[in-house]
Amino acid sequence: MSRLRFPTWSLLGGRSDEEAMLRVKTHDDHQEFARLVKRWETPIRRLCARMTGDLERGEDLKQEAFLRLFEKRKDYQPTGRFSTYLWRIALNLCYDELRRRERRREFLRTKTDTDEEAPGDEPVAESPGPDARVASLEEGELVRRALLKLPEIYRSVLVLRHYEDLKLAQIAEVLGIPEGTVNSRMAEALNRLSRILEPAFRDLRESVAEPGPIPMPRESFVL
Amino acid sequence: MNHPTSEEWVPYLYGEVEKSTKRRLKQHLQTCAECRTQLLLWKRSLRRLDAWRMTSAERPTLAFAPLLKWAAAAMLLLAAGIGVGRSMSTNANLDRVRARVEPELRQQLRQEFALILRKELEKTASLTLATARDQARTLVADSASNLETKRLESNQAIYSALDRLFLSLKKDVDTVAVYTDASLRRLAQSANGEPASDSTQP
Repeated sequence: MSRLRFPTWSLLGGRSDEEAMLRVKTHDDHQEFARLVKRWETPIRRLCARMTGDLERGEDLKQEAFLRLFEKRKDYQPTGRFSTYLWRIALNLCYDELRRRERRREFLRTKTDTDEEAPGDEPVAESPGPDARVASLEEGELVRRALLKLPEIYRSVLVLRHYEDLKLAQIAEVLGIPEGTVNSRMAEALNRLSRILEPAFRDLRESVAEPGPIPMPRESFVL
Repeated sequence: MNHPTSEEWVPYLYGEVEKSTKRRLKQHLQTCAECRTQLLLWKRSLRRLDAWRMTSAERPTLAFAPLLKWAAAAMLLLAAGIGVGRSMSTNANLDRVRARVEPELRQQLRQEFALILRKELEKTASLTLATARDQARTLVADSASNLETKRLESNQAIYSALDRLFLSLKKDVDTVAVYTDASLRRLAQSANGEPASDSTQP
């Protein structure tokens, strides 16, 4: 992400992200590593939270991502951008988390079937909190749910392009796929997203027009 | 009509296409309502993604940028002052040189700081204006879409009411026609001296 690479910092004698990571790799430089964390923790936390739909998991995954970065410092190759390397680590952790979550759901589903209990609707995501029903009226919550309904391959391109402002070419680098594939995934992502959001926002408008309970803002839903 | 593929529209949507491609796609949009609708739908969905927003600063580390610029300006001015001082130190004593350089330095520093401050303020103001403009645009677009839906619904209701009215009128006219016909038949029969029959009654 070029706008976060701080040319001013470099002009003043600071290191670029790539140089800093190389110092971490070759000298185990903790100070440089701390600087990298400080520069990148917010975008990485945001990415993880949006991929998992869960702010707290986003924070945990961010920490895991930097831990993994330090553990794998010897594997770092300064041929590409540092940011590409870091985005990839964080995304892989998100994919692992989502797979674990899916396995947990599968297990619960099997258990419910075995126990012959009435199967309820499968939740879209892990429960975001006790006041989710109130928050479900919020547009932000609708968007969070819509994104979680998208398969990971579509969600990742949307999150990286829209929220993190990566160019399509850089998304291709991060995901290790051709740029044409990024474009086709993005087109499909936008089609699916529109199919989910159009009726959801229409229903929301209608429910707002009718008198009902006042929706309260829910802080934990806002990243 | 040959439509560009969805994959071609994605870089166009994000302004990541070459000028010639952009021109071609723009020309197509002017003549193709189908692609125009598709693109508008995508844009609306993208705008809606912004509803899931951040509370913390979007780029917290950027807060250091103005400080770094100030520090850079101060360092440059100090370096210039030291340079001037050194060049004059061979034929004058240090205090006199400092006395001559200091007001000038202070003045330059003040001007630089004022300039930087003004730039930062202008930048912040334009950012705020841009955000407000975007939000207003989103609101207007949503309201327009809402109004359009309402208008279509009203039209539909009017059409169905008119249909019902037409059917009811037609039925009435049919009934009147049948009665008239029966009356005429009765009249004709009575004129011919035949007894009236009820068989033609509707």
